Amino acid sequence: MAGLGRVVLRRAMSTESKQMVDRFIRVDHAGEVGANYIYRGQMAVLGNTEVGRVIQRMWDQEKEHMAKFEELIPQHRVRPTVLLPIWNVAGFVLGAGTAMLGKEGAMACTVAVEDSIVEHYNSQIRALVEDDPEKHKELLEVIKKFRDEELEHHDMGLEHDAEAAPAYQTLTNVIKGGCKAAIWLSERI
Amino acid sequence: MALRFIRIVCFSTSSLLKTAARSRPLSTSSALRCTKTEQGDSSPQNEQTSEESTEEPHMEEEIPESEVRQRLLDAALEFIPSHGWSVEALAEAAQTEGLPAVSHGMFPRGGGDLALHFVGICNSQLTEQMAQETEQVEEGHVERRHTREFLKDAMETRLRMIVPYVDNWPQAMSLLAQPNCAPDSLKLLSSLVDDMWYHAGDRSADFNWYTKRVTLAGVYTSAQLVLVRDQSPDFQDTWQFIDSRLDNLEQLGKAVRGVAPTVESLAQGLSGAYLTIRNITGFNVRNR
Repeated sequence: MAGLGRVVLRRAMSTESKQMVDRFIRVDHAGEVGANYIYRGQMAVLGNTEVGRVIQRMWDQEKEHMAKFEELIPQHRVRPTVLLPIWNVAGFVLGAGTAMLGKEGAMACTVAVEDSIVEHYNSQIRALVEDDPEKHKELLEVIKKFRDEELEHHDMGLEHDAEAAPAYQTLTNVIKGGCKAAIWLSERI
Repeated sequence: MALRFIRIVCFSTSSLLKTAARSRPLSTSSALRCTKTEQGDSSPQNEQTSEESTEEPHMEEEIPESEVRQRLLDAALEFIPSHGWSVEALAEAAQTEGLPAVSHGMFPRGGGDLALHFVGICNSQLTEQMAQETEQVEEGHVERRHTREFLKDAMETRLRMIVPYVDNWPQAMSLLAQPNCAPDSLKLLSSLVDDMWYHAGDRSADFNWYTKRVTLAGVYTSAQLVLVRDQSPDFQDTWQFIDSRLDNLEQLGKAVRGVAPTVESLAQGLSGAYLTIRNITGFNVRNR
């Protein structure tokens, strides 16, 4: 019955806002999958060091996020992005690559990625509230919760000497640019 | 120039239909006169000469063009066996619906539009059936069927909808593959297989989402080709064909699942190799 209710709700949404929700879920799912692989890459390199536990904690939260979006995709009948396999590899390489610069590198990567994601989630929250906060209540709650957790990761990265990473400014700027490009692409294809 | 002419014809037929459709059966000429009055040309003289002036309030009630289109397309299906997927079938339908025969000008793709319409209604019929089953499953009245069995039934149900038109189906297939219809027809196909997988209980959110849909679309398309050439009683060969293709699909799925752990262990192997190199070269020191 609940399922039918959802179907009806989905139909009741206007095409435009349905398209927006589809786009959001698609890109967020891609983002969480990518984040997962970043942490997996970091763990592959730094898993046995003292920051291993910190990374593991963040990774566990990302796993929850990914699971939530994996649930939302069939629920809203959203097509996942075609680029998933690419984000898997890119995420892993980014995570492992920055981790090879040392724990500061890994943390700088976390700060840059989470910063882009928080910004991205904020803009989604704005758009959803503008459209209809009542209709998108469920999705808004999910995104708000995740935004807060991503912000925590961002701060945790700073606490763990992210700024001491080699070429911190350049590194974070490059990663942020990459994230923006990935978001742009995942929203569309 | 020719294009402009066609556009003018289309425009005028659609405005004709708005008035003509409700007051059927009307002859073409009276429909023409009605349009005149509707287009604001309601000088007293005109109203007096017009025989249908008493019906005028009735005529002002506009039927949306989309409804007229639907009605015409529905009616045209009856003429497929005799006229094929063609403009002629649409023209015949227009006559029975009391519309001017030129109404087919509303369908610039002619038979292609008709074929797309047919595919669309068949798809929604099937989706409705499948949705009913899903509802039953979610309410707990029936158990969810095995994916393979569900897909086979769905395919068969869908293909059986083509059976009444099977002799003309090759023509429809070629129309649907034409450049002006192909994008829409592809959209219909993808929503068909998406619905099939969804109601079969598939909830994948990874790249599998694509492989599943693409392979099923392949099975469906090739099954259509088998169907139109099938001479066996009750199209047994076609159902047999679907069965064996779904067998292949299942094997493919197993093979893919077999590969996944390999990729996983490859990643582990790589990180192991990295650790070893780091230890040998002494880079590990600073982490202690």
